[in-house]
Amino acid sequence: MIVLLADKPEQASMSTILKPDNEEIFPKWFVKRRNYVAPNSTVFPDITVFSGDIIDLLQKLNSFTSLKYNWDSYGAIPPSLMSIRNARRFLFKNANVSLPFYFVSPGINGEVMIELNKDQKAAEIYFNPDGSEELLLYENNNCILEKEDVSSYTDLIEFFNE
Amino acid sequence: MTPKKLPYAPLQEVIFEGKWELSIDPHTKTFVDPEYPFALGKFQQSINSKFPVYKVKIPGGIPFQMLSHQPVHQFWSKDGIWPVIQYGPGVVTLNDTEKNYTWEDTFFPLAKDTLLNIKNAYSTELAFISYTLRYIDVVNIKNYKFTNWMDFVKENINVEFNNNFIPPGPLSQFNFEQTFEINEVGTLEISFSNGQDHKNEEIFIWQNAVSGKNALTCEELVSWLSKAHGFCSNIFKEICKKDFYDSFISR
Repeated sequence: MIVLLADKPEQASMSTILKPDNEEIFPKWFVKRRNYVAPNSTVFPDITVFSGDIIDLLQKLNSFTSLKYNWDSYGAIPPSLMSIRNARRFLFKNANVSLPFYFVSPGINGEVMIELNKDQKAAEIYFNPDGSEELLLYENNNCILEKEDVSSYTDLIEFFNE
Repeated sequence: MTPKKLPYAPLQEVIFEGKWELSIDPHTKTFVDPEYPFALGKFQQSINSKFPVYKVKIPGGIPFQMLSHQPVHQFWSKDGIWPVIQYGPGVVTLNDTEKNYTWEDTFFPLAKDTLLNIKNAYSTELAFISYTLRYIDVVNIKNYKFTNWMDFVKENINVEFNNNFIPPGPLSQFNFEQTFEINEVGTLEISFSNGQDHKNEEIFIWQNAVSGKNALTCEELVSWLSKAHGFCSNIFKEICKKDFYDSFISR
């Protein structure tokens, strides 16, 4: 029985900051908290709905719960429920922040990795079975930052939006 | 003299929305825009040269009878470039951002043209029964002196903001909405709130929206729109304290 994934519904509504459709063309602002800033807005869209990309990632993440031991045929450990839960919470919380989510994958040691990618920049966030997190930032395929305390993602947002 | 366009205007989006009266479908007993499927083609043709990029907001397969007063189609001049015209059964909107916006030169003429094109797309005279002109303004607090939200509002906005009790902690979120009756145009809604932008930075948001609900013809709605703009423009200046307003002129 998977109980750790049964997060409260309000977790979805905590993250109500929207990702711009095309921030290069015009910088846009987004409103936290109110679910419906302005009817028929094209800058402040309906924030009660996640984008298709995020939904795909969440669905893929949930599918990791069905992975068994040796899922890669090389003895990999299935992702822990802690890893899946924390990755899921991260997606919920940041679904509408301006971050270029790319894909999510299981690791061989029970961790879950979310990758972000934009032009020559990439980031990997590891959600480990013991509840710890690691962040790695890459630029032109070179790792430029590695840190274990990922309590604030301000660096990450700045990295992709600078 | 007030400049035609504020150099550092906080405007994020201006939305004009017009909804017209729908008919009752005798079979489904729901409100429908019976001419909508045919009017869509005529309307799109009339704006296609200026707004060639077409997007559908709502996935296909949903009967249009279920989408009354909801924009379904978007018409962009270029992909991701405002202004945008949105159209659906019984509704049309015009959305623009600060980058292009001036009332006299761009927004108002386009709103008039859009309403005329809607009128021409229908064989019957439309009665607009709900219409709004809404301005959404935003500033990033990092560009201002900021210690807390209560002081920020007191220092920049012409409203009183006091709690006559001891707050249990720092104010993290607020939202004030006020609606005023205005005989000539309908109602004026003013709201203030805080939020975060796409970089997770704190922002202050305020909206001025004038709305009407008396049935108007297309031509009357154009006249209403002009009056509504006057109210929004005046209230914007009156809401902002001098230094705050001046920050939109020079920095």
